[in-house]
Amino acid sequence: MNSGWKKTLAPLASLRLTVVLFATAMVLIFVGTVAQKYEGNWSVVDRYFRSLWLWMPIGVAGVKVPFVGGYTLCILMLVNLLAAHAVRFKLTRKRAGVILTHAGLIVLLAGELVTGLLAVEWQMPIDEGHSANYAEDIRQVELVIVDPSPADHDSVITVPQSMLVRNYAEPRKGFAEPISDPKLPFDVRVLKWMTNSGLAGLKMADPKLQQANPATQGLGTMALAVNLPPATGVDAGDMDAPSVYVQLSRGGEDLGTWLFTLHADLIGDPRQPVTVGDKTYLVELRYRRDYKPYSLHLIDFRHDKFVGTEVPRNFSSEVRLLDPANHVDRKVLIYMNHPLRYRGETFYQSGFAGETRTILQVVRNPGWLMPYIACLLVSLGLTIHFGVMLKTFVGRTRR
Amino acid sequence: MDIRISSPQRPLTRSTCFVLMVCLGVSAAALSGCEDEPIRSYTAPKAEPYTPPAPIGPAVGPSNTPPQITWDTPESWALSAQGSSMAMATFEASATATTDETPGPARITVTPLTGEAGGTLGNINRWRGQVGLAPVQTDADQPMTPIRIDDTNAGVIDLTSPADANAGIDRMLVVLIYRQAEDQSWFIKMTGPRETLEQHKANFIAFCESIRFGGPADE
Repeated sequence: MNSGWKKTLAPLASLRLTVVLFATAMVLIFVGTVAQKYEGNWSVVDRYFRSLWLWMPIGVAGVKVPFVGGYTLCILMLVNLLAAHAVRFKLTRKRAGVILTHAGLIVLLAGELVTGLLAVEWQMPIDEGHSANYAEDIRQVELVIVDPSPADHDSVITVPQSMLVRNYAEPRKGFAEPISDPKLPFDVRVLKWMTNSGLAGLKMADPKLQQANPATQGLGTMALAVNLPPATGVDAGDMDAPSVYVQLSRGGEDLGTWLFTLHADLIGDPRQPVTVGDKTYLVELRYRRDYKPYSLHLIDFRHDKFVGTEVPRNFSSEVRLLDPANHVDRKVLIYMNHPLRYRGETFYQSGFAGETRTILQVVRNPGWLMPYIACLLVSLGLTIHFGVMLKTFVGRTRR
Repeated sequence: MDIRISSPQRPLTRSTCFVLMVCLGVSAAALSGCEDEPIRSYTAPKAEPYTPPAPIGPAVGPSNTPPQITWDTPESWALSAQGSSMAMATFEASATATTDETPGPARITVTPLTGEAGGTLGNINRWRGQVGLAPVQTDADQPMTPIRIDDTNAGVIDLTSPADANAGIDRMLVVLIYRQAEDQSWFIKMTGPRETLEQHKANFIAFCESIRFGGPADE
């Protein structure tokens, strides 16, 4: 490498920079861990570790300071490591171990970037005797508009949670512009978004609250959604249950104000009919779905316990995998440490509800092999470096 | 022994800053573009017809009819879908901030079970264990505040976790009612941070006193 490039990269290869980055990472990990007492786990992961920067609370009267996020730290560590190799390290037998170890670290950092950006994790609940051809992301919801008029399928349009939250949080000219798209049969204006909510029966609610109920149509006229604090990382098993009040309109015609909530089945059918002209759509708020070109039919779910105790011994799901396009029709037993791997996805036995419902965890992670490769490289590198240093030491003592 | 003297750190040059900015800028552009989700449209198999969820709570009584109960829910309580599958109803009550930190919400559940469901002493010691207190030998050793619920005498048990106990529950208010005519036990329980329970204790007592057995289940 010519001296001009070395001069440019030398400050980026600084060991002092490495130390500063490690210290910063320790601060970020500590504050992110404590934050899980007040926020959900995945919210903390997205805000602290899978971000470029964040407003970090410093625990004093709500004061927040800007701080680097996990992605920025990762990128700076990669730049620091690559610059150090370019500037300082020569490809010699003596340096082989160090180079291999650092290569392993590069693979580890890159693997976390790949996992953070591309990995997806879903849940697939299936009842005995029933089939499932979709998985759900229980960390996100979507507003779903279904046109059930075709005889052999449903036409589905989904508005993601991020868009609903942004429409509520960014008022312009005194109110937010509605969400509008050629795919949508009507415009959607978010009046109120609640990350976590409960329902209050209107007949028992404060009369002042009844008057303040924004809903004019559908299930929202029978119950009031109230804001609740978000579930935190220490609330065992608790998940956020969002609700949203939206105003629907089409071409200047007001279609009413509706409540869509994950609690909808406490009141009635969650799929609420919205009529536009001569067409009726079914609209609901539900967990984000990923439909598969294949299905799993749950033949039998077993929850075995040790004899004479309530201690679980084994959970297993016997399923039938059906993929007509690929002529696949076979039985598979999914149980602990024995997942099903099919078409780039892995199905783990994750949980259950009652005696006849299994919950499978569906994971797709293109970078799953990278941590293993990284560990192998680091172990090999350290072993070689130890061997080289030992040989040098023995040689010196003999002289 | 070799003594290595570290070379002085080179200052940041303009070209160094340029390289760093390009790396961060390209990464930021790539990563921020990944976060925007569009509106999706696709076709899906026909959805199954809606079936209402099964009534919450176990089948009870020889006639297998759901237990009948009504109550007046305090205005500040919200019905919640989160909770035990055994509970007939679950409510959440938020706390009002009194210091810099707002305590977490309290959870209130109403759970029917057939028969004596483990008896009074067994349940008292189970609850005491959940808040990290030692068990008692008899029912009379557990202080209770008398309460009248419909036509039944009962007692409110107030349990607070000791400071040094690493218990899963900070404070618990619980009422156990056994109705001999229906051979039915009712557990009305409020759990959560002690500050929140203190704020909602009066609501809990009023809720219990409003309970009437025999009418349709309220929402």
